[in-house]
Amino acid sequence: MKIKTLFVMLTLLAGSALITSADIAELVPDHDYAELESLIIQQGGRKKPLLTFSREVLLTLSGRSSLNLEDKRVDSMAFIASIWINQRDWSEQPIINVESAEVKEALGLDMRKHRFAFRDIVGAETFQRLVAEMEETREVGGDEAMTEKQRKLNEVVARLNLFQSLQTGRAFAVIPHPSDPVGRWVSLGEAETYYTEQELVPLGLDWVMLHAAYHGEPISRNFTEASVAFRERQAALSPEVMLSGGLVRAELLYEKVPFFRLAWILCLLTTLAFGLTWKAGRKTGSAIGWSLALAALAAMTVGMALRVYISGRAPVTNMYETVIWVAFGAMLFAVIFEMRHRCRYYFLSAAPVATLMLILADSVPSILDPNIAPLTAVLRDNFWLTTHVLIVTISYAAFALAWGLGHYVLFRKIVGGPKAPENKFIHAYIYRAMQVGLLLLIAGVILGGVWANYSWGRFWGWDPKETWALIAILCYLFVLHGRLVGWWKGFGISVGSVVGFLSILMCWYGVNFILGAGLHSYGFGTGGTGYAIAFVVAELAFVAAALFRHYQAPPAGRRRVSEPNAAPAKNLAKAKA
Amino acid sequence: MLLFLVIAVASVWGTIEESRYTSQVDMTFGARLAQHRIYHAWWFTFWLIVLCVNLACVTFTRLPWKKRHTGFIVTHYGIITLLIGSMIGKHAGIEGSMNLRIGDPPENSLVLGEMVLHFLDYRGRIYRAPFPMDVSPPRENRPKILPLPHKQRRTAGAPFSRVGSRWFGRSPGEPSLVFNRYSEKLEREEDFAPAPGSHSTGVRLHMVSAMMGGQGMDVTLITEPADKSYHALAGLAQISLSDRIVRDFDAMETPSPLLQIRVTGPGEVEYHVINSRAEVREGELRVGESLETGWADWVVRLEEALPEAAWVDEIRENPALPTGGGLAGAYGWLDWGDGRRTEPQWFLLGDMQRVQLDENEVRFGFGFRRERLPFQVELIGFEVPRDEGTDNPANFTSYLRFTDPETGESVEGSCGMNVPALYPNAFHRLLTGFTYKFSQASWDPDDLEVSTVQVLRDPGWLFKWVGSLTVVAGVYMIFFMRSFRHRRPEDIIDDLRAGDNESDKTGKP
Repeated sequence: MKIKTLFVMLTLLAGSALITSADIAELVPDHDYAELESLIIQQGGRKKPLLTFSREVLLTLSGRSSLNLEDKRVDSMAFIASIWINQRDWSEQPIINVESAEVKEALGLDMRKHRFAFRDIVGAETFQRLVAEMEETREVGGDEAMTEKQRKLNEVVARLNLFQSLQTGRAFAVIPHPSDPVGRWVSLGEAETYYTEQELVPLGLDWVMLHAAYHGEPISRNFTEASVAFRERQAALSPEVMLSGGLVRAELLYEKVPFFRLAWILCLLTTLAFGLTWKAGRKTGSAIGWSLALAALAAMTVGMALRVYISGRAPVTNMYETVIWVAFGAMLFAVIFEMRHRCRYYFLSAAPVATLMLILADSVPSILDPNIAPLTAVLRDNFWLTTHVLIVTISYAAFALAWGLGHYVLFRKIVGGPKAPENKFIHAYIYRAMQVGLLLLIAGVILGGVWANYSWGRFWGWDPKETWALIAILCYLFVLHGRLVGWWKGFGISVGSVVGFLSILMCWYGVNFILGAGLHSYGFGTGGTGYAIAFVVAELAFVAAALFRHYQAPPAGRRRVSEPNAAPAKNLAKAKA
Repeated sequence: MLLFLVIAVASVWGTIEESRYTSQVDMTFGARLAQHRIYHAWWFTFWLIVLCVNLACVTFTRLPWKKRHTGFIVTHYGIITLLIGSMIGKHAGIEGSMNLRIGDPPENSLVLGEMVLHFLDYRGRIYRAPFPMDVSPPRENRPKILPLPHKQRRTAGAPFSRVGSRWFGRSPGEPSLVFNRYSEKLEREEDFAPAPGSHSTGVRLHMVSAMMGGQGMDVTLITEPADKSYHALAGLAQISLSDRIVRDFDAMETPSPLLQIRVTGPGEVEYHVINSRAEVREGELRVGESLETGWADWVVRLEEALPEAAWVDEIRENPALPTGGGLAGAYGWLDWGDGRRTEPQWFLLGDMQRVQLDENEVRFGFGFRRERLPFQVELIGFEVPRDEGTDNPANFTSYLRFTDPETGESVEGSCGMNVPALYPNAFHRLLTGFTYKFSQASWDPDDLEVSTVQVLRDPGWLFKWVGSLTVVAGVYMIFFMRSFRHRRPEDIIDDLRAGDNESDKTGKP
């Protein structure tokens, strides 16, 4: 990057051979891309269908999965085809996402907009100076030395680079390596590095035809036929390095059906089904709720199964995947517990929690990156990754379930005051969920220790993630031991489930996004810290409110020191009374 | 019993508080510092021991043990086993790293994470002292004073001792090394200065481009060493200083922008500049004069030109450097104890230092402690497969050869990510933890002949693994197995439900 790239960017600005097109209809003609979607392209360390490529690229570039240009909706394939086949100048279209207000201000961009044209950003008066400063900071002090603004600017520069590689065609690595399945693919312009002119002539002709068909020129093929011809010709260049048909179909299915969006809608409906029929129509409500919950679970299962099939590894390698996995786990635990207890509380707690998490995963792609990318080398061990990470993250799900139930108890306390009737069932449910979570967390952390002992040499290294996992364990142990010795009962457990979850949040999100340090370097990211802090403050305020209501007039018998083994018996006695 | 339990649990929670505190420290000071201050500190160990005793006591409170106590007891003794394992590992184990290069002779020196200072006396004997500068740096008002074991007559009581032992205390009137600062933000400022008789020439240039924001940059070139005679400008243009100017560019199709400079006299140079359009300009330049290069709008001004120059080093602290971004060193002086002392100066980590005070010379050096392995290790290969079509490493594998110096036998092994190499790996050694484990630790992206492996010997591993399994099994018993536990939540729920049903039945007419 650096100065060199700046020069290149300037050249691109100065004189380009691209045709500038003001008319959106001409820029993005309507075509059916169904056949072009399955063209295989290599990018980001793996081979993928062009549809996935287009989605990922557009998401990275603009933060959205489709564009809205002059009231015309341009989906990712239309955009990719236009910039690649049409070879139109896109540098004046507002498609590059600049979300940071600081960066916008520094560049003198319109504060009200989110997306800007390449030209507007690169042409900004302060752009070159800011980039040079950022590069200098990084040169001297490394990535950590960069300010928040420079980090954000760096993200924008990465988007600009991506845009350039698209505009120049370099990004379209569709020419397969002739023999090596993991060899580097090249773009059409560099095809001669691997193949002779004779070998390339047919593909070249097909490319010209595709081009002509795209422009609606009167040739023997329509666009769909031309797409098929080009795709098949490309696949024939080096058949042994192509993706298998099954993988391509799986990936297209995964891209086309929004499984996780479907899942959150189903989870939301589950919540409604159980919530609205709480008092009346219990039976129908339960039947509908159960089917919706199972459907949501099925949608998530299929979505994750496809992801596993496509990536060839456990679906818990970045924040996006873990959030979905936790949502899945919460629903799974709810189903298991409901099968045992049929109490509806579990669904009523798990479904909103899962809805919340899935919406989160669905709506902030810049923070929770949904792209499937290769793993860092440290994590490339399927056995350990699967056992350790899956178990740890599913324990979060159990805690999330307890957290949701805890909210219910605290909410009742806030509304009903100190004399609100306590529902001992829920307390037992929370207790159970916490036990399950704790066992899984302990097992997962210890498995992590065994993995670390095996692969890094040491069992425990006080890495931030390790330490915070330990703190979370100790928090929940504290809550459970406290109950055992009779310091508190149901209400205390509920408070513990809500406060304890904050330690999970720190371990889960905080270590990766706020501390951003340590060996657990999967899915480090930035963003959302403000929301996270707001969330923590809101939760603490909520707990404080509940505690306040609880202590307004402490009912007799609270905080009574009692024999640990006698406590449940007393509960029972009370319940019977 | 209850009182005891409460006290017991309270002390358990005391440890939680400690570990909360530790994690905060971890955030602000970095892992190594946190480890020194907290996790490896005596009081943390003390807490762990108290915790162990406490856990054991808690189990005694349940005497006589009944069947339903099984889970409880198993869990608590599991934790104790785990902690014992970790203490064994910490005190009897060894953890270090080796930086290996392909083709280098076999190596047996292991670099440990702790800093030591070595002192060489006039007879060539080596003394060693712990020198934890990085984790507990000295301060102006609390300097680190190391008395030297140099006077023969006091050898017996010398505080500085031979390699392998520690020394304590300080007697007044002893020659000593005094350090009052430690920094990892040092810069070695290399500058050239007039050096009569030197065969090297040197220039300092200042380059400015308005297009690049108008911020100037300095370029210093010197003909000796040769690698300091070139400066590449972001890979686009080059400046070279030499005793000869090359003018034969006819063969080049697309010349890369190049500025050649030759020092002709004090403050005078001859230049030859070519740009990407193959336009050539040449002439002479004096100090203070500027030259338009013809590369975009870059302008070069001659700041200094010396026909006889040499590099001089100056060590300076630059607080603007990020942590770990600079060189490490300690600031101090030699105090002879009789009022004489040397000027304070920075001593860099890893360098052998000589300090001269009148007729006396003291030699010492400090750095990370090294330990000898009982066998030799050599790197015979290093591979970094990449993710397809990118430069992202997909794995790292070091191929190692281990040689037993006594028998001369060698064994080859490889360590990749998540796949360590073990040596010697006979079963009984493995079990007792006398096997060394080699794990891939780091690499140098610019030099694929070099690999750093972490070396670990942990005699406590079996305790850790057994303890871990026991804990998990115990927790499972407590939470989920009816026969080992008095009441599970399910039982409570069932009882509650039974109660509900009864009241329902009785409540209804």
